[in-house]
Amino acid sequence: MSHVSRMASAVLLALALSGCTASATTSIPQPSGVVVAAEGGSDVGNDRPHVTYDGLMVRRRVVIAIQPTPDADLMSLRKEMDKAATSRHTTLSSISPSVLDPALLEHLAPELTVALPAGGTLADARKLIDPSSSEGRRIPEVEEYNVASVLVHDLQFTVSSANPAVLAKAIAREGILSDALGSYSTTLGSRELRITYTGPLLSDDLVESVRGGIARRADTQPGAVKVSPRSTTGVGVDMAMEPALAPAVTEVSTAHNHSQGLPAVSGSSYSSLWAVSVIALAALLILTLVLIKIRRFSQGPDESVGQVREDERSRMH
Amino acid sequence: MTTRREVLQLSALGALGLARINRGTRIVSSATDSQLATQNTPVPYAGIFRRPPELKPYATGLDGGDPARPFARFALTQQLGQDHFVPGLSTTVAGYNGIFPGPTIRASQGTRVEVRIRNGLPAATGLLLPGGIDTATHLHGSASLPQYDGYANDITAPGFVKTYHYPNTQTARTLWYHDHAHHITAQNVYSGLAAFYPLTDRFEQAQLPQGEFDVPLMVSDALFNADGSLGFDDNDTKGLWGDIILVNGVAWPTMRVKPRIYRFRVLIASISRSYRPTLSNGDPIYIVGTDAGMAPIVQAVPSWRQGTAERYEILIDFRKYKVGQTVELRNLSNKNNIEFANTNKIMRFQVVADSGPASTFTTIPTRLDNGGAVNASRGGIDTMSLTPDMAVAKREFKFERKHGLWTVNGVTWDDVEASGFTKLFANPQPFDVEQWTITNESGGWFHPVHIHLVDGKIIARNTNGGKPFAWENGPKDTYYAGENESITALMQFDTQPNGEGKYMIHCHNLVHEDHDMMVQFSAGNPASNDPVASDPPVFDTTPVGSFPPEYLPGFPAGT
Repeated sequence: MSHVSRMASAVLLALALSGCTASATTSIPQPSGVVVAAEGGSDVGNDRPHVTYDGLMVRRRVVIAIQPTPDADLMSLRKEMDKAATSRHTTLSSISPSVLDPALLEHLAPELTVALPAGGTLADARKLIDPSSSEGRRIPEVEEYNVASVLVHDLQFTVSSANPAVLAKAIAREGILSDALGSYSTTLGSRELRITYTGPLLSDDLVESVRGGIARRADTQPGAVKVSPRSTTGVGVDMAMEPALAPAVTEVSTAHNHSQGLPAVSGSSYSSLWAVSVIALAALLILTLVLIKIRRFSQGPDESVGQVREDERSRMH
Repeated sequence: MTTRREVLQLSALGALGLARINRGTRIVSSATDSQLATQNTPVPYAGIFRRPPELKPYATGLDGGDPARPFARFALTQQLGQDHFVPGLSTTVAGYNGIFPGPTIRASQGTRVEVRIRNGLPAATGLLLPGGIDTATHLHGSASLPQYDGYANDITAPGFVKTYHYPNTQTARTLWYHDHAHHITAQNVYSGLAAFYPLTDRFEQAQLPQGEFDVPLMVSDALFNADGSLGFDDNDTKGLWGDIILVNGVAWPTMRVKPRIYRFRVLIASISRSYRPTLSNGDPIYIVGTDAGMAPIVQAVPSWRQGTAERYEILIDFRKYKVGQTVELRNLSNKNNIEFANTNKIMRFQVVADSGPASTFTTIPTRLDNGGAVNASRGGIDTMSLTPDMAVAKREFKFERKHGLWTVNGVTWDDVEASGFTKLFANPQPFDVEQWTITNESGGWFHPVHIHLVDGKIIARNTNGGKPFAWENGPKDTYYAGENESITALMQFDTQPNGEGKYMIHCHNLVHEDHDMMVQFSAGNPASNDPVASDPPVFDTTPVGSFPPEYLPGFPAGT
């Protein structure tokens, strides 16, 4: 990695993490020179898309994002998590890591992300994975984890059909919904097909694209595909009232060095926050350069071969 | 050579939205569309369809006089040229022989080909970047030796020449040649360095339409400055999405077709954009070929998803249409793209009266036979006959964005460079079968992942009920990893005799590839066939114009 890219990386990380300390009720300032995401509002990248399908269609859910140890077996790790959940009379469901705050997603790049059921709390999540919380347990093979309250879409698409089973198959074969939604479920009614989705927020354009994808195979118009909340109970989210970015209540932790939830700051604290950020940034840059120097001196001429995690080569003979 | 520092500086300027004049090319501010005046803005379907010209070899012969070992030699010059992508203005391109798409080279199985490529591009002034335009040419889909595979650091500088050797021992398929120079592949391909290279064999000839009814479609997108020059905005190294769709270098063209069955070789040569083509009337499209050749079972689909560098060969049956009828090839698009007013359109077909000899191709096939493994005597297995129990190793590749960098398992090509090109992700032995899983963990982006050298068979996905999509049921070399998707594929590392060595793996969103989502593996001994030192480019002392291009007679404009 070059000096420039290392420094760019360090700058981005420092700024991202400093942004994480802003409260959920204020937007993160963008100082001059900061890379600005060009994809805001769309489904490109990890920024929040433009969403008006909200209210009961958007929910808050608590998720646990895990970066396992390099030699971890994801299947067994997931089993451990399920076991912990069962012991606390709850369940975990897989969910896309794209629900996470973009800065945290870039920092953590979790390989396993699970959601608690609706109504699950951060405290519930901690009890499943956080060894320092009361009743919390240490799960092996976890290198780093993040517990967060995130926004998800919780949608149901409904369309009339004389033969919903055939329609479901045709929709699956075309693959538009698979591309747009990742995972989704279908329920066959007597004369209608219901498609349900819980996952990262979808832009309005993408919701329309999904409606179009269903309508194509149902030989109808997109407007005939009804979009509704997956559940009409509980508390929804008015996206117009949400801050531009909602890092929410997050805590970045490692299995070895846990830190408490990051403090929230008010909007009036930005000047001092940025002063601190600038100082921290300068320190980080100097540290980065020093580390690069040290690494270069310590780096041998030959790097490792076979960096990939590789299952044991099991030759047939 | 353009340095990473220069590239990053340029990207940073783009990210700040600073429009500036840079050697004649304005860097368009972020996430914008073309700056063309109304009279210079292309109108969908007004353009006349064209096919790229087919290059004639400058020499043919027999190795050692042996009729079983024919060869053909071609010559290309990478040079600036002028095209008319938009009405009333000309655009400077940097293309093979100065045209975009570059000349098509048609090759036959069993006839080895040499392509002499001279870098005749400016040494002092670039087109989209400052400095000279270095190049490296990759024949995408070919099991070439490492030193002829367009290794990203095997650079041909302006004034230099390199002769690439292509064995053409594989099954028939649609290949394409394009630039692969480290850090500047996106700019170089976008500037025009891309062209078709269809490889034929007797099986393909017997089962699929040929000649007039075998049509290459290179689909790309671009944005233009007010003066007609190419605009370039990689959105802070995330991708380039243009507002004008080009097919063979023509904006939204109309093609006249006869009421017959046509075969189209669809190649996405966009820098970043992916497409979901469909016919406007909802008629089925028949998938007969994928990246690495014919699909064993023809699939009728209403649309399909296709990312950069993927190739799908399709049949469209125009026999049912009346003369004068039109049907559009539209783009339904996919998640994680940026759309503009007319990016939902690709091209239009207009049915005209039939003429010429009666068609010999009158039935849509249901199954296709590619002839089986070409290296069976050396242990080769037909790609689509691979089964999981044959795999001797399983590997996982995570394509992710970490700390602002595009990485593969946390590693970048910079790391490979820093290791003196010794860092490897895998070291399968020749003819090993392995099972590789590609996972996109980068969030809101898709990655078309290209694995050089080998053809693969997709056996699983984490979506779509665990199966490959209908259109993916053929041999592949580029794998579309959508947001949070994973793909598992089997592949056999069937190298040429004495063909061991290092090959690249990378995202074919060329902006991601440049910054620096690329790693490498070695098939067999990594010290064999050093991709940089084995056959380096040399200064070209041959007078310019020594190989004047000659093209085969083409088909009339619009057909």
